[in-house]
Amino acid sequence: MHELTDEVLARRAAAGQLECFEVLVTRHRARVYGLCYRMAGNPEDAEDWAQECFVRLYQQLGHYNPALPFTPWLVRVSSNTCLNLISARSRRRSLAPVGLSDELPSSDENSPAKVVLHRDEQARIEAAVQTLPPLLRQALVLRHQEELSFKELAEALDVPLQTAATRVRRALQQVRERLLKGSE
Amino acid sequence: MVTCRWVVDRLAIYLAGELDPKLADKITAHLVRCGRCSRVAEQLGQTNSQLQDAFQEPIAVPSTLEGRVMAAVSKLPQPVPAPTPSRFGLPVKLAFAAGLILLGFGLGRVQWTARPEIDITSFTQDHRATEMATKPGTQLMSPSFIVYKPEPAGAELCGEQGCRIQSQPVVHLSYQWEGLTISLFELDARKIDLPRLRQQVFDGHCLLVGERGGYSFALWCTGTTHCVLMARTTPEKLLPLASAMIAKNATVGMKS
Repeated sequence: MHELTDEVLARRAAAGQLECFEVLVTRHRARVYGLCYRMAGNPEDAEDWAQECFVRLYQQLGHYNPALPFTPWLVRVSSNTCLNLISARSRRRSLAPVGLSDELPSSDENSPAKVVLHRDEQARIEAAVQTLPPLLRQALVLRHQEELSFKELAEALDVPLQTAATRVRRALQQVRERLLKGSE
Repeated sequence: MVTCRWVVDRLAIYLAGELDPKLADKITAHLVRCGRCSRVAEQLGQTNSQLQDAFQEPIAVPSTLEGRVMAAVSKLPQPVPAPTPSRFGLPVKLAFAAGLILLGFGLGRVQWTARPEIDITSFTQDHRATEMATKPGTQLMSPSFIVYKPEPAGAELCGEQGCRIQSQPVVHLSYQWEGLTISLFELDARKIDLPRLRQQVFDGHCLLVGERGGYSFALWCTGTTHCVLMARTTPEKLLPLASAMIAKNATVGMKS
């Protein structure tokens, strides 16, 4: 079963083979969780949101066309689910980057001070991303987390190419303004 | 006219190197002489690099996630397939939409749906290439997915490939059947509609049938997939194969 493609697994999962869906969850858990983490900004919400994304994916399997690649469809459903969850959740935010790997970089040149500075910078950037309006955050996260081209991003967001580009540009500008304010 | 606003709106794509070369040249020329836009470009580039680095940080996935997901999903009913966008009947909503269109535009050409129609002749080129290349046992390039792969008795599946027709991704299965090369094309029914061909019921199956340039076509819809069967033969000879394919809707699997 593990040698089957995502599209075949999705088709079989839609027909009731739950073990096929489990394989899809295993394969894509890092992608979905990463997306949710970047959108939610904290590991607690990220896990809840990732569970919700997979539930939604399962419920929507009947609408998935196996003639089309599975991953873009998964990304689209997951990011739209996150958008819905953003609007539904409370204003409580935890910005500590607890979910980051605790492994230190292997280079001998990285002193503890550099590691601390790096983590502080990481936290500031993540906090800045969390201040973005949902649609801009979604565009930015998909662009950088999924490394989508602008054409792929426009397809994932189901918007014209220029709209996708404008959202990313505005997101970058707002993140920059936030980072500059934070350093004052 | 190249204005600062026009340039700034396109800076993100420009900096990513994904802009049309002619437009990119215009932006480059503008940035050379406009200090303000040049600074905006530099700032966007810096922020973009910061974010690229930040998003490279690995994120630890909780070990409890899979268990939680499967526990939740196991309690759900089996996913319900989406309704088939059929043109063989006249659903109430289409009738209502048709009424609105008639009201708005008066009598005349009424388009049932905004989706483009399948142009059956546009499949001819791919089918001809298959006729030249295919013999029993020939293995064409395999696509990374199979949608609906019927193997009725007497028809040998010779190959499968992915291609694009009318800008749509298409699965093309080729068969040898009674000395004929047969092509079965599969497309996303949500993106493109079946054409207005002759409707025919055969063996209880509703199909659209047509002939063009010495080829016969049989079309039908299964789930979210439109199927186009074609061969260099008569419709009367093709219909039994189409009916057999619809009846033998084999489970999806990969070729070994």
